[in-house]
Amino acid sequence: MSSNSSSEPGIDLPDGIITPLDLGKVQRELYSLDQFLNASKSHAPGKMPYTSPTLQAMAKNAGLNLLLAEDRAQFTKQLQFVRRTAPKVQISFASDPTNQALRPLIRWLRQNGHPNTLIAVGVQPNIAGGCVVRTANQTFDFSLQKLFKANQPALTKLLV
Amino acid sequence: MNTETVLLITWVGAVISILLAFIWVALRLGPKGRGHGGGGGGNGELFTDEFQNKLRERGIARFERTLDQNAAFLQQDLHKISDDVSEHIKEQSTAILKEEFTDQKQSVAAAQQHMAEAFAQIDRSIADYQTKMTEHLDKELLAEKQRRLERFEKNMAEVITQHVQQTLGSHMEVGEQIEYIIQNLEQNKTAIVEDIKREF
Repeated sequence: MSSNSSSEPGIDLPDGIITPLDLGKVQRELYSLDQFLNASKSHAPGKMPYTSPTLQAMAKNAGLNLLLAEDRAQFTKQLQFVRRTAPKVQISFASDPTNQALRPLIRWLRQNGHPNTLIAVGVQPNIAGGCVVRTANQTFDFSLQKLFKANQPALTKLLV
Repeated sequence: MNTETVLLITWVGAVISILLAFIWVALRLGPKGRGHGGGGGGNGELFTDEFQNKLRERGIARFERTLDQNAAFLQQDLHKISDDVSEHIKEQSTAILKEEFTDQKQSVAAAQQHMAEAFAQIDRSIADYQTKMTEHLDKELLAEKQRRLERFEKNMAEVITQHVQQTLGSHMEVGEQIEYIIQNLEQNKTAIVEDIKREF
């Protein structure tokens, strides 16, 4: 994993956060926790909001204590920065993939590209298999549809 | 003027000449005989009335006989001429009919020849048309086959993709394809990584 940029309040995303939705979910948890803890100073606290293991692990790795308002504020800034700057790669599959299936892909992208890369998942049933990867400026078609088209002469020879 | 007409005119001329000769003899002998006989009877003439009567009777008989003979000859000649004319008409008719038949034969032969040529022309036209139609149909069939083949080739990849997607769609998990996807990512690593880094 590469380190954070020194000039920006960055943070390394764990494997549990794969898509922008996952990141948003963690941000909402942190926001709810912050709201709860801030409210508890002035009146009796209610039920504590849920904090996922991912959020807790991220805070621990960053050396932050979520019970401290300053740390929460810093963590919030870091997550906002990541959300704003993280490179997004859109990958379309023939069917909806599981997080387990996406994990090797996000690891490869973060190891080789940027440590905070996020994957926007799309579904395109007509590609049959494989995937279509779209970065900011390019599209890489690794689908079976492309494979069949590329090998059309061989298919024609077999079928005709 | 043909032969039959000349013969007829000659024969009629001969008969008229004979008749005129008899009339002339009768006129010549009639008054003189009676004068000589009348005078001779009482005066010792050469021809008596009896002799003159005999001569007259003999002349009449001879004249009648000659007339009968001439009538018989005339009848015979008429029969002959009639037969000749009939024969001539028959020959002429036969010749005309033969000529007509020949003409008819020639006309029929010409018509047959014309019909044969017309039928041959029609046969040739039909054969040409058939050949052209066969060539046209062969071309059309070939073009249609080529069109279908091209359409099939053009859509084949999509058809197979659809078929694979429908057949394996629910059985082929993304997790099973990760190795293939990672392999493709590795092959395009430089371009992908550069684009990701450029975005950041």
